[in-house]
Amino acid sequence: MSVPGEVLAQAEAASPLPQPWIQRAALPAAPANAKAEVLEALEHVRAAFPDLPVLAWPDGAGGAHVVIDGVPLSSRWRQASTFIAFHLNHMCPDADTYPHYVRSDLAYSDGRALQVPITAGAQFEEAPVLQVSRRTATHDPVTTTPANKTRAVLAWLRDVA
Amino acid sequence: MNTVPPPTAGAPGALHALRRIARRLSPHQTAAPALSPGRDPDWDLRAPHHLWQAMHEHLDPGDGDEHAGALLCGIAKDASGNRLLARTFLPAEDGVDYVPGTTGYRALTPAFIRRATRLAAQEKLAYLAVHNHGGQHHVSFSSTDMASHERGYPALLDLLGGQLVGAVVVAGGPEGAVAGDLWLPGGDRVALRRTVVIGANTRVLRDRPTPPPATARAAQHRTSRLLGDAGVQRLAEATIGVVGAGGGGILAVEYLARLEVGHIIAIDPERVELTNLPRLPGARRSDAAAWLTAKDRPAALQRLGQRLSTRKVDLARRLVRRASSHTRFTGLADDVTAPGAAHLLTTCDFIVLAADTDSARHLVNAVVQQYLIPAVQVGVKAQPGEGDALSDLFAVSRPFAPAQGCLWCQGLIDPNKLAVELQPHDRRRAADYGTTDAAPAVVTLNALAVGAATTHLMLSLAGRHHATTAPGFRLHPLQPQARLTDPRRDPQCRHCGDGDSRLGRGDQRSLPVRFEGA
Repeated sequence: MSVPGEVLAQAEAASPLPQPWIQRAALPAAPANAKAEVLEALEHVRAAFPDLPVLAWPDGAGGAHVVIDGVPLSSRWRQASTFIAFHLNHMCPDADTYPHYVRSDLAYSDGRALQVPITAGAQFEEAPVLQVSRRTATHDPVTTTPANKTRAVLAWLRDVA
Repeated sequence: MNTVPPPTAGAPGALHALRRIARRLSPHQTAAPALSPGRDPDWDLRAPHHLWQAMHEHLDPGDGDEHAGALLCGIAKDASGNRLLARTFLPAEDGVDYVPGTTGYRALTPAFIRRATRLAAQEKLAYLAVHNHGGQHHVSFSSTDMASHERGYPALLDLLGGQLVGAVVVAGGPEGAVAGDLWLPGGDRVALRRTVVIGANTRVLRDRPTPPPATARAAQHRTSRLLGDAGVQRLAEATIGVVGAGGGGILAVEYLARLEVGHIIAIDPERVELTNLPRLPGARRSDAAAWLTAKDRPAALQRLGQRLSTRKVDLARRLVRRASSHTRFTGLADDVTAPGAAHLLTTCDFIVLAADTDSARHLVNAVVQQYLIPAVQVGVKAQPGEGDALSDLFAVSRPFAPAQGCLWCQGLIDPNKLAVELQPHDRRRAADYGTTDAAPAVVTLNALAVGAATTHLMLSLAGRHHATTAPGFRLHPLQPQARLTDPRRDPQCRHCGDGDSRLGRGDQRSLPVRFEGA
């Protein structure tokens, strides 16, 4: 699960990710430190976001913490881009991918306050983040993959939130 | 499983107290119990009721003639024994796949064997040819059968490249006799010890009648009036897993110990607290270290008290010792999703699921379907109404067996809760916003659910159920009303369905456990 150096450099250039994340993602990873289903889901995420840096590190229980950096946002938001982070646990793909986390300073262009399901004051791997709590109504392990769920959450952020 | 031995009779009081404190502080172990040295593991066949029934409908359509097919089986192996797990039956069509033989009455055609073994090889399953003989309570292979095994199975072993091959012969219908000749990779050849068919009843079939059971002891006389001496013996030979030793699980342990089941394996990571004392029969205030953990104590003392309070599995051990000198006990102070705990469950004859997390439900459901083990889930639920009133309250006992509608089919596992429960501890509460209120819990309701569940278990192991499937039981005390709920099954289910599911896969698939050392 170790990340190529050029990806890390790309991540650092895109937006200032918290240093603990970059350090953890750079750690050499043993081949058996995540379940096969988690590694497969991670590959789908990388394939779904081929032009963006995807960082990942094991959670110690067979799952992984994942961060996709530099995701473009719409004009609804003051910022042009954000990272999106989530946890793939060892019960993937039967577990939903929930919740997601984005940059803690994300703000609407028109200045209105953030509302549920976006909540402030959350933490992801020792860094402050906003939590985006979009539950899946009918989870199907074949179609509601972590990659598809993350795309759906991003589409909601861009167009609906 | 504690490493400190129990206190011996007559030990000085201080030494006894020190040993108790050491036991409470000792880290839990998750190693599976070791098999007695020198014992060769036996081979059993396990089959879901619906598959066994379908196989017999093909083999015995009432014409008194011989018919055949093939069983494809997953395999489970551990120190306590080996199991073939029947997951597919392929009927051989008379006159096409099963034709007059050159050396015997009839034989499977090479084309059928090729088709079946190719499927077995693709799916990495064992291949068992099946046919029927006449008779009722005894069955064995004829000399012609054995000669054909010796001609053909060494080559089949090579073809299947490391998968077991063999044959099964049955007689006397779905509840008759079963014999098996198993050829193991590596060259050994063994006879099948027994066949276990899992439905509402758990039936054990062999190639000949079992010797009459020992007369039940005087203490079990009233139980044997209900279950028969054979039923009492089945309980005495059974290993029962109890997942969760809280309010429901501790009652299950007590009831099972009073029934004198052979072995109880209890799994729960938690300790006794003042807040759960009202639901833990047999627990004392000292188990909750009340003198340290009471609310008015300083936080540091409360933390110390929490470390010294009794583990729930140790409370369960105490109850078993008090109830029965014939029941062995293994306690694991860990979550059921730990690899060692999940492995122990795969060695059970029956599982009582009394934990209320979705991750426990998912894990136990996987064990049930993958290893063909019957289970029953217990629970209590309260639906809030206006103000502090309740709109509904029910206690439920839900049997679930392999291929009879799993917990996923019945909508009882929430993928979202799986995501929340497995978040790192510091993120869990924030991830579950709005849903963290503790559910109402009362010992009397737990007793309703667990009484129904353990009654089902007892009748199932003793073979006393009348129906072929066991419905769930829901009691609504507020109305009052009792309902039966039939499990529904999705044939496409990833866990218990007919396709590429977990059903009967045994050791071939990994269980949804966390990594060792986590």
